[in-house]
Amino acid sequence: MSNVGGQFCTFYLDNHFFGVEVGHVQEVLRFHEMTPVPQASDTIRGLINLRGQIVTAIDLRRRLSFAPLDEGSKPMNVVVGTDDGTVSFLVDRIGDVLTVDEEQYEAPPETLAGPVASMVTGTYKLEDKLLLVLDTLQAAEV
Amino acid sequence: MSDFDDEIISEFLVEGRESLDQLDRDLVQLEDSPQERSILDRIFRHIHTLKGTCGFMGFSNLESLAHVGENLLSKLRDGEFAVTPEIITSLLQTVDAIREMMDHIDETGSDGDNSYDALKADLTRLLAGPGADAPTPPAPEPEPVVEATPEPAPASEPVVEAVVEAAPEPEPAPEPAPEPEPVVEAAPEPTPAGGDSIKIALLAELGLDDSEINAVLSGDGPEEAAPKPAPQAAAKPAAAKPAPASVDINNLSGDPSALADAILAGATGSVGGVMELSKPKEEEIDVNAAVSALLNETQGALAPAKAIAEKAQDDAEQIMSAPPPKKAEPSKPSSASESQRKNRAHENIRVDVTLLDTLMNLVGELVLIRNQIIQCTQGKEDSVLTGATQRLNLVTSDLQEGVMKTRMQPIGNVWSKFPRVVRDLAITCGKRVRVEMEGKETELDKSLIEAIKDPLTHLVRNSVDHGIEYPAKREKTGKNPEGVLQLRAYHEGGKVNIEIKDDGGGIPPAKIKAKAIEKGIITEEQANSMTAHEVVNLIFTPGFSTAEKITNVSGRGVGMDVVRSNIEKIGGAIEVQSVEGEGTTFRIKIPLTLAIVPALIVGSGDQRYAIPQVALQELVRLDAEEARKSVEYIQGTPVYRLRGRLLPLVFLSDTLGRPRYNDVLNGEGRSMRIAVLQADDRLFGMVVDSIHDTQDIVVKPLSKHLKQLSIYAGATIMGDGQVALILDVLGVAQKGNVLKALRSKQAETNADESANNTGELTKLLLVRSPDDGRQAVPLAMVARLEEVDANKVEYVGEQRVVQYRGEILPLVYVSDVLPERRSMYRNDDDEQGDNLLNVVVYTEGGRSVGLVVDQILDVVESDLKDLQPGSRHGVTGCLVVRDKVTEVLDVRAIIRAAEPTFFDAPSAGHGYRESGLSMEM
Repeated sequence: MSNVGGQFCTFYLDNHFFGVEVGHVQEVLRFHEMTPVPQASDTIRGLINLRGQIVTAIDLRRRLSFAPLDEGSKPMNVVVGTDDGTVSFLVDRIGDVLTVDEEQYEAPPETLAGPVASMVTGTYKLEDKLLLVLDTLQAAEV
Repeated sequence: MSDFDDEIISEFLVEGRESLDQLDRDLVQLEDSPQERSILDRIFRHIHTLKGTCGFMGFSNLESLAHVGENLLSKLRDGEFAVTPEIITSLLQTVDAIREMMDHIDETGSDGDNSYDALKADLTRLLAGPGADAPTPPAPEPEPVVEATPEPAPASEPVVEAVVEAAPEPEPAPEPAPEPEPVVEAAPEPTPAGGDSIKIALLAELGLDDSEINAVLSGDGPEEAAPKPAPQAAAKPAAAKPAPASVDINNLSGDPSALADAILAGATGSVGGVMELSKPKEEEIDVNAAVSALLNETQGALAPAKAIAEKAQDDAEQIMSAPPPKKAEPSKPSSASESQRKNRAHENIRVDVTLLDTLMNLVGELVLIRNQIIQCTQGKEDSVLTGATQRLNLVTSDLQEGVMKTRMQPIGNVWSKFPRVVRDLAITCGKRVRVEMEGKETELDKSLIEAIKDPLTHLVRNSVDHGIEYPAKREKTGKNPEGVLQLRAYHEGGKVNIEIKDDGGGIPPAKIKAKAIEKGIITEEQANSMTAHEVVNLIFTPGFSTAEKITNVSGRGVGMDVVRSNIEKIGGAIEVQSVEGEGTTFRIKIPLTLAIVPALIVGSGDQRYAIPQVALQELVRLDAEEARKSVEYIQGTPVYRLRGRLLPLVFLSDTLGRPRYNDVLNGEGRSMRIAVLQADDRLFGMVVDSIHDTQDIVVKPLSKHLKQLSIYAGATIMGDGQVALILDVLGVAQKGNVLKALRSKQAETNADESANNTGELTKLLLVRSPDDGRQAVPLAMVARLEEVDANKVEYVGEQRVVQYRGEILPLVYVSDVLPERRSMYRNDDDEQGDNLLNVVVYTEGGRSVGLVVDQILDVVESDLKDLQPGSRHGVTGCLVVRDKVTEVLDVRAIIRAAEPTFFDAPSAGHGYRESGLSMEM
């Protein structure tokens, strides 16, 4: 990690606290109507009309192999720009934009396994919880 | 260069590239018709303008190369020697080199360090003409000049003398490494400090006063006012003041060492630039010529210098011999091209493509908004609002059309580079190929033009490399040694058709088959049952390449599958037709535009999907009762009879993996809606839950996550802001197994063939299957009909047989091979029930087989052209016979399935050819 520290757009997923570098985030949205894409992978929840732009919504819970969100609860969107266009990550709840510094940083533990291991690039030890840094490019790689 | 705006440079690049493209075309054309003066003139003009402009910009490398090219061209123009392929090749290489340099300028802002010495040497060699290197002695040179321009003569003579005098002194060692840079550098600031002063001294010695010296220095000559700065600057790079430019020349002529350098550099063409400048100022040319002669004398031992001197002589001579009017040229072209440009500006403006794209997107948005507004105003009483909406509708449509038009480009834009490609390739391969074009003006959307560029190039290269044979071989087969590559484009049914046709050797199906089997693409059995047409189309399969050796032309892994996928990506289709020995035709069909397409909106459950209108043939609505009655099943596959033709049905909801709504077949809903769609050449019916309306939709690409889903062509935003997916009809058809491609198409082909062979109608033996299904056997396949006592059936191993006319007749139960929907397992007990078996005896090669059927009904005549592809093995296809869907049995396949060894008999194959119905499934 060459550029440790900085601002992170945070969100909650299951009982975890994640962050995405602010620079990558285009915008965050409340629940947005989606058009399902039959036959697509489960991770893709649908297509969103973002002011005329069609954005693919990725269910981050599924992507990270978390249990699915309860029926009826409406996920929020973290819209992120990637090399292959814009995608929206569906998250449980959006948090604040946090500024963290280098001292708080630590590489993710080696013992992490599963999809999380490949998508979490670092952790910041906050006072009350851990902030997991999500690699958006990896996460968008469905 | 810093003096020039990026804008000017980029304009120069744009125009320059256009010129280069034109040069490509013209040069190839010139080779074909060397007598066409107008082409030559045009080429000359382009090169000249190019050279002038880049001189002005200070791209000396570029300029010097252009100059050498121009020299060669002017020789051609003056008819000194004829156009040869070699010359054209060199000139084309020059064009390429210039293009490279332009790319370099584009990237870095400079024309790079590559001075293309080899190419220049090549051009220079050609410049000597076919009569090899026999330069005219320098002596007579000054004369014509003196005659032509009496005025500068006095000035020229003394200078020559002065130089001659000065010559013995300086060192005789010009650096042999010709690097244009030194000269370039030397130009603006005369580094050989003495140079300038020596020169002035020399001139002074000649008794000229200061003003005269200045005149000579500034290159004005006594004859005419200074030409515009542009040509002067042309002599040197960097933004220098006009005056030093010609001082430079005088310098060179005055200071022998500088001159030697310059002449050496002349090998790389720099001197060419200098000379170009000198054109109107003959006295300086004199100097050069004379000095080079001198150089010849004094440094005869120095071989390279000598060669260069000779070249310089040639140059000089060539310039001298040019007709007098040429004098004015250096100043003219810039103004000429300027006025030309102005004229053009009245008709055309250059627009950045991204701007057009933005405009297109905006129009797309506008179309969506319009749709939304129309939706809102429907059913409203407000007449003002509806009036305004209608106008908005009209204006939007016009605007959309207009913007689309701005993006339309003639396909000739892509084709125009093919003559060059073909020519180069043909020469590399040692072939002769002529390119013919038809329908160059056919227009299609810019994005499509871009998208088909590579596939087309690939196909063209392929045709030359693999298609067209070597001249010797062509002659042997009685063809014109010159192959013809035809490009044809035309509009048809809202699509653009492009054909690439060669008259080469065609694609040998046997070779393709062997290769496909070797590569494991198909099995041998499949191969045997494929028609030539199908086999040939195997070339589009991924991983297929028959190139025996990998040339630098093809076989590099960019295969035909890539060509196909690229074309399919833009909603197009490609197919190939090939007749061995006669040639190959690739036919590409692509839509006119991609961005906005009319579409039918259909529903599956609560979701809407768009079907591009081009694929839509008609809509059929069936009442529930009617639907239940008229939808028939073959093996669980629903079909509907549309005006007597069988229409396979695909349920959209099934394809999408969603539950069916309003499924009349399950007793829900009141009617069934079928969208009759065309995929490739096949019609099929897509049963949808609801049909909304037709709309112009703006196609938006899907993200890469969804690209691999072949059933979608993209997505669009509906009037209410919701996203709807656009169905890819081809993908849906494939998913629904409508296009089992190979098998189904073949049935049609075969049926067609047989129908053609035997006349309109074929006699069929109509039989009944145990489940009351109708089946038919072509009567020609039937030797006899027999009734056999079921009790007489005996077993030989697993095989059931009967004794029949003193022979053992193996029995094949059709219902075993073709199980029925509610098939019951047949055992002997069943048969004992009715005691008599109906047996259709088939004989081939002296051996017979009995096909056991449930009941023999009748013999009918039917047109096999109507045959629909079969849904399962053992069935050639389906027909409607007496209002019942009837499966036409593939007798050989059934026998093979039940008794694989039957056809191993030596005379296998006989009989079925006469059957009138090819059974080779």
